Amino acid sequence: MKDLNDPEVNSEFARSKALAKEKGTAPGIDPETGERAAVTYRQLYNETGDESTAAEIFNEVARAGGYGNVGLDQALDVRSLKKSSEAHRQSAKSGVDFNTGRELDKFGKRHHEQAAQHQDNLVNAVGEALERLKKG
Amino acid sequence: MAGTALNFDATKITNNYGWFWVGLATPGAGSRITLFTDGTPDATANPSAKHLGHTTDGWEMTAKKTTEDQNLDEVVVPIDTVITALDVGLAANLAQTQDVTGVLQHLISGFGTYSTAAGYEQITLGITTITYLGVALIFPTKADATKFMIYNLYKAVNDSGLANQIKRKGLGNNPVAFKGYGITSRAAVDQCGNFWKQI
Repeated sequence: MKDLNDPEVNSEFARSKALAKEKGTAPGIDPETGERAAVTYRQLYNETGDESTAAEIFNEVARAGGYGNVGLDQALDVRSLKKSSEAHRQSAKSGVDFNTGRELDKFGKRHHEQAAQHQDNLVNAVGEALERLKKG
Repeated sequence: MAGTALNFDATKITNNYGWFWVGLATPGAGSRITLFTDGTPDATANPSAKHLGHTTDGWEMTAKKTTEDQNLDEVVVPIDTVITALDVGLAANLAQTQDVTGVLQHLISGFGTYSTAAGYEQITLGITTITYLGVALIFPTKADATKFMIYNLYKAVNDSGLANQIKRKGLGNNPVAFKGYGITSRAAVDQCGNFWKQI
């Protein structure tokens, strides 16, 4: 019997897992959009077929995105950077701080614009690090 | 003249349980882990996430600093203090202690190795490499059940080993304490984890 309180059975998480399985999507790749949402060493190895290249790309992505020296057995949430950039941009545009819900003054809006730009730079740097996969 | 508002707010009192996840991806600089609207981790951004199931008494989050006071001979009280350590952890008594694949294998980093084949799943005991996990405790806010609070440790390991009680009276359980470690090359203010609330 399915446990309705079990998030691995009855949640968006479970449904997304099931969809990825149904479509045969690789881990970290969005089954609906094909976007790379996470980077794992295992998946990089599957794509490159080479341990040292996979490790190099993983570490380069970790450096580029400000993840820190994360171990190869952990994953890097690439989507988090983009979401953070969008949140800052939305705050700057709407004039409401997404952290506090308070109205922003000119200084606050500028802060969020700069933060969005900074996050965009990280997104681009991660994208460039992943370009190596296409080059082989 | 006006007085100052009091801060009594019953909608900010926790009265619900949380979901504890291991195997989460690390968020990038200035970011937070990606969640779905129902509070579960985004399965694509967190491809290895696993939920650790029921507990007997819920979860407890702790973050405790240790300080060392600085004194001068001429002054009887400390004149300053410095932080010498920060201990961050998430602890509970796990109830699903017969789930080797889904629960126990995530508690044995450094001293146990999980394997499975036709007809069995096992943990062999002996020294092995310590592997760290991204973990998070996620629970709904009282004021709005579609918004969540999140305690996320980027690099954690269960520090209390296995202490699995097998008994007929009361619930068998296994106490766990996930201890947070620092990722040295992240920004200094964000090396261990974060605690955030959706608004």
